[in-house]
Amino acid sequence: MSFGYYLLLLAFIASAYTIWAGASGIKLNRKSLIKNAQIAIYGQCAFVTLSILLLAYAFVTRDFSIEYVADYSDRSLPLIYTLSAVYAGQDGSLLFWTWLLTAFNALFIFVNRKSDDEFKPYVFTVHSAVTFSFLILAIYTSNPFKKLSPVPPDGFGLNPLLQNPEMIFHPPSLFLGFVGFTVPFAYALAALIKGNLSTEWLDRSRNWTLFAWIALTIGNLLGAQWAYVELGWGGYWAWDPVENASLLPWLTGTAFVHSVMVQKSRKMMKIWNVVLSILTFLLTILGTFITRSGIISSVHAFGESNLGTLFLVLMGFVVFVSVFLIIFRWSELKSAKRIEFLLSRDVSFLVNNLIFIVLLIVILVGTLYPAFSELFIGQQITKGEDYFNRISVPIGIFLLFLLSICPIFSWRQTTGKNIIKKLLYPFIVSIFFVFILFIMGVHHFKSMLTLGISSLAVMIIGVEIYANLINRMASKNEYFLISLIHVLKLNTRRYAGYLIHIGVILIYLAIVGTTVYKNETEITLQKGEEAVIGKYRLVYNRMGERRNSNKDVLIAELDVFKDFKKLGTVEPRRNFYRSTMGQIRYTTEVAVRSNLKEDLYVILASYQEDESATFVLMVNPLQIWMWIGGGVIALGVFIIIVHSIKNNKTEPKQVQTNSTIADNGKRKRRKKGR
Amino acid sequence: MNKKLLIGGLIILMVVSYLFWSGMKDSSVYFLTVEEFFNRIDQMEGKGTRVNGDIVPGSIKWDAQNILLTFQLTDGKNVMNVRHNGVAPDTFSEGLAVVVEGKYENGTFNATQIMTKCPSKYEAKKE
Repeated sequence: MSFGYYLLLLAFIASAYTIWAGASGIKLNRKSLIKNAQIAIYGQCAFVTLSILLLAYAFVTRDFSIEYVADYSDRSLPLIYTLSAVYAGQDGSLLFWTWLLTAFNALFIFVNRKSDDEFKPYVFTVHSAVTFSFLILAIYTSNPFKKLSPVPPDGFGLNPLLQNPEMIFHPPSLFLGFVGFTVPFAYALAALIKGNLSTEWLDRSRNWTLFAWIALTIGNLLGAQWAYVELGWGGYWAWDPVENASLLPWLTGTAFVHSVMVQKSRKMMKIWNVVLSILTFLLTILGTFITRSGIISSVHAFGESNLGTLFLVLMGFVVFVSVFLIIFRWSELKSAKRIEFLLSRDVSFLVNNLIFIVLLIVILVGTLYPAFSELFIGQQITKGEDYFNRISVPIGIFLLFLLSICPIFSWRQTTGKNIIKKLLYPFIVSIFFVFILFIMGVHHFKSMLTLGISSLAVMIIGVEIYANLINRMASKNEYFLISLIHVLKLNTRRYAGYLIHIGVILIYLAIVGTTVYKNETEITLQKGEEAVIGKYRLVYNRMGERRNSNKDVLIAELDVFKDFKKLGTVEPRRNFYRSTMGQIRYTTEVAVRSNLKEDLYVILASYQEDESATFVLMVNPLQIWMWIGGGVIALGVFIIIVHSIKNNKTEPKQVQTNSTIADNGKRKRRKKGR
Repeated sequence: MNKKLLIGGLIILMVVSYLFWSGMKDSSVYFLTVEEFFNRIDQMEGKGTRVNGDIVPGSIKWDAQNILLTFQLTDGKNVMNVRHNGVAPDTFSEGLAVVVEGKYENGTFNATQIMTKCPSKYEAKKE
């Protein structure tokens, strides 16, 4: 065994010590033990960091005496992909996950080193318990440092499909999201154990939750982008079990970031928040379980291993502890307040949460269906894309509707008069907008609905900001621009939230464009022949070849014309990987020409002896807005996190009691007005 | 108040159940091996199925002009003819295990989709 493995053993001991010292420190109220536990957390992090660095070093130095290195790289692999190979396989990704766990815990105690957070010892102890479980896996079943004998002259090579820029960022981003949700989970358990079920645990874990959520969101989008550019079928989402696995925690995570606001403003949904944070954590584990255990046959064949059983044990344990604690604290968890009025933000959030849970159940059932059908009727029956689309599209449109009208509701109660006042103009404008779309040729019902609701959402937000702006300009006698800046600044959180919603709307638009208005054709061309798709005309010019460090590239050159104007050339390719060990010999590299309106997507599907070639041509309208939408969402979350860190610094004890976000803004405004 | 909430909740529940039911209805896709497929071939005519098998060496024919791919799928004993109006996916080659999705009509399996199983372990880590 190598040194890296012994480091993992040390980390294991350190995590065990942390749990013991943390738990007994809390019980005996001994400061020294709590302090030692924290030192051990830095120890865990240091050991695992060194261990993963050693693995990376083994990759860079092509140390094929380590089986994992030999399995996932070879001598011709470029440096950057050699490094990403660290988390390309099961054992390495588990080590990477463990490393992030220790890093988050170390970061947590470092950030809170001077904090008066009473939850702190509970949180880092629970967190260490999670790390402890993962270290067991890394040591017993998925040791990435396993030796290989005899040492092969060259490695097996990295799957060419993973040699792609998205694959450098997609897995870490996803893992950051998965691991990030350990912190709110640990806080939930801490609150349950401690018996302090005020909003404090939510306030303290808020930024961690938001960070995990945005990492998961971006991770999923990067995965979609990878599928889009690398898999060469022009799509980005296929309801594959592996995709669903990372969507499930996102759904509960999204429900959670919303329901937190209800408890903070209205002291309701206490149980709900505890359950959602625990559920999200469980689903991150379940996702890993689904993809690693081999219970679901996915297009992506995963190695079957006994890892599945251990994950199942871990999940079972978490469920057992959580249910026990929730029952134990039942009386404290019951909300003091009830929902009083139907027309209120309370209800709109409640419905939002229910819908996310429904979506979760639908996707969970569809994903696990093959396993259960095998179990009960001895025959694998899968649920195809059809099942998922048929259910999730109407639900998705309803969620968009909720998103669009949520700003007009206030907490507790909204008067009908108020709703009509805020809804009237946006509604008229949206109807008009849909009418124009209809004249322009948009006749697909669900598209019209989605676009109409989107415009309603944008209008409602616009009207609200405009009303605030006019008010302020009148009362303060300020210039337009100055007033605008003040209005935006005073309601930072609220408007950043709207910005995130705008990002979501952009993604909806991209989904409509790429699914309903997609244009696709397949054609075989001789040299000099042309093909037409949409407004584009493509002329197949020639076939060229290029030699790269680890692959030979076949390049087809096509000139692109639009309205008799040459726009440029596109070069769809096929990469032939020289490594002979791997099974996949070539990959198709699509050529994408993006603009704000649409993507022109060209695949070199096949070529013949006579230099004729078969192309798949696609026009994917609005595709780029999916990625832009992701950027907008990230920006919104970034603003919120920065704003809350800044606020915490200026007002160290900002305890939100019964205020709403909107009220909060108003109160601040009043304060400044004086 | 609680009455209104209850009614609203019931309506949502009903809509969701309807969606669920309509999604469950005829969206089942059987996942069979070539052998299982031929064992129940009389029920399989025209039904959405996924069939899992190996490509018979030498059976792949590619008609570039008509964008038509034909090949045979086998489990070692039975052989099934497959037609696909489209291009072959990456890594499509003789002897490889693939999954085809489509319908069996008049002695030929018309595949709408061909999925190649990544042969090396833990491939295509698309989380």
